Amino acid sequence: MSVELLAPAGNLSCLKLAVSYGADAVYIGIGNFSLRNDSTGFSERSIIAATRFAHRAKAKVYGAINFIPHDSDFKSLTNTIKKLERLHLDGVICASAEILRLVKKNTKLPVFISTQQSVLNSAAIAFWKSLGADRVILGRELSIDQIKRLCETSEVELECFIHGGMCTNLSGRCHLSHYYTKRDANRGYCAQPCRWIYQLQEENGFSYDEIFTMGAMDLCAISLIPELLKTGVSSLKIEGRMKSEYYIAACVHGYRSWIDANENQTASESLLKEVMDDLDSCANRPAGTGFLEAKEKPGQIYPVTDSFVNHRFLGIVKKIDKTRFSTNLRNPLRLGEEVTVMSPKQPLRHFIVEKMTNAEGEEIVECHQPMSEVRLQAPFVIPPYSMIRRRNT
Amino acid sequence: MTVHNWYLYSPDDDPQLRPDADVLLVSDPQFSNLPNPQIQTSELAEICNVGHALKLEMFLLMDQLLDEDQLQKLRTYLPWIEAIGFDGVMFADVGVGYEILTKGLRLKSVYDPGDLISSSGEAHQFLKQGFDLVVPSRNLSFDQALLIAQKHKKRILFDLRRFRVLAASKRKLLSDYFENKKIKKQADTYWMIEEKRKSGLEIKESDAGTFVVGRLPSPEVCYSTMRSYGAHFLLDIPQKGERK
Repeated sequence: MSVELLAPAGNLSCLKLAVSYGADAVYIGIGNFSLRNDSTGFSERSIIAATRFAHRAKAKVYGAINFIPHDSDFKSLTNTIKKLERLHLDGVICASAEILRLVKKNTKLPVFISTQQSVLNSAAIAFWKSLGADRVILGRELSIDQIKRLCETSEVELECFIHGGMCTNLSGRCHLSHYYTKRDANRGYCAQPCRWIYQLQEENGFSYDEIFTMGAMDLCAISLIPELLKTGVSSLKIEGRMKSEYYIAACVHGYRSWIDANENQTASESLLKEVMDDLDSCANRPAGTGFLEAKEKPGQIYPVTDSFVNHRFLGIVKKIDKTRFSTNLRNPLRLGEEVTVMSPKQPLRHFIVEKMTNAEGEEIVECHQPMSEVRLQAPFVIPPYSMIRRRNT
Repeated sequence: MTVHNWYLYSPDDDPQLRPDADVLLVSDPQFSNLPNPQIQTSELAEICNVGHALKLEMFLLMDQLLDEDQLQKLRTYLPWIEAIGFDGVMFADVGVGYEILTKGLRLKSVYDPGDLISSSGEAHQFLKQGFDLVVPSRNLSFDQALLIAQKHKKRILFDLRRFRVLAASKRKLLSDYFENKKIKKQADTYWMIEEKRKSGLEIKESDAGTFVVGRLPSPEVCYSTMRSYGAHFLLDIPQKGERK
């Protein structure tokens, strides 16, 4: 059975992009009960629209109720849980044994135990299975070999992260945000103090000039996909419900291409290069393989003064007429520049901008105004949900 | 269990400073995040005997989250811990508790997953599985903590210590920093000062990873009120001259 590629979505637009670009499943936040309390979120109506859209493409939608509840939350939470089934969700992600019980009592939905529980061994997996969990999302502190060993003995599905922002500290057990800001990380309000700048001092008072930060590099496991496919893990997860439409589309596009190529044994160096280009184009922090490669250090980030961005996202295409399309530009564009077109389930394609018109139909040489509508012509047909970008010069 | 006052054991402590102790909690040399360097595995049996002679219950603190290799070691270790007389284990990894419950061990089990138990319903789920005590979040209001104590009489342990581990990472953050900056690492403990604040937090590195230690306000727990519901308390050893 093929591994599931699981993508995040902070809103309906992101979900449609994730599904169109090839995600097998998408996870979304439910109400105020997930760990991304600042995302624009989904109303009941938009969840129904989301599940309808996803199911038509044979993709699944999981709802995250992965915050840590207080007693006062349970009245509204129980009402929400009772409605989940009629929203046509395919599963629920939670970090609480009590929420697990409520979902099992009130619905027939499968329940996945969140990475907030930092499950790293077979006994912990067995414990959650005994409570009725159908899948466990493993903690990020495991190597590929360790994941493979767990898959060999697990009686529930296992899921692991492959891309995105990572906690430096063990998930669910970090009090730094509460200490510094009184914001509870386990209820979606983490202030990310691990990424702040500190000075390191010895006990005798001597201070080091070089700044210290605990922030972890992002995870990018694209180079390890062939090994991960052999572990037996059921789902490969991309982090990022707060991320942009472009980020989600580019990540899904890259991982979908590479997973399919490896499963179909059509992987090549040139395809890997193209996939890396996708992932680099949306990165804003250095990335590494985290704990997945046991011999490598998990890695930290150090504050960088230079911009890390090597691509500029230009826009999502609209008003398509075969090879002609419009877009609201997110970054400047001028004639003669090369544009990369990323389309769902297609390889990257490129063209030089030879003609550009504004919303009034007048030909223009360049456009600097953010969100201005321009019309472009490509030498090939542009599918729906395509996005364009260009390299930084 | 009828005991109430728990203290973290250190060989340097004066037992007279804790005359009200009912339980001593000993950092396990192999499975705690910050083991006491003065406590070796070979000394555990003797420590346990001394504690029992003082009519104290003796528990081991195993607050690491374990990978599979460590779990395999634990499987032979736990029966030995029971054989040398320890009464129970306080653990952060639910897998440790599952091993105790399912392998026929008589060790008592205390589950402390940091802030993950924040409601009476959550506490109930773990107690129902067979854990003897659970430790609720330190991040609760008085009313929230009281409700948990009321609903689960005698089976709640409140951690009232001032200084505690605020963050635990399996990464070697200090070693990585010094290696990256090509500076020789001088010690295992430092202070990290946030750029806008004057006070710092202690940051330590051990074989188990990196730990940030600091002072959180104690949970809003009224000792006498919670005690009336049979709650247990993990307390600081009072400093000399400090009134209890």
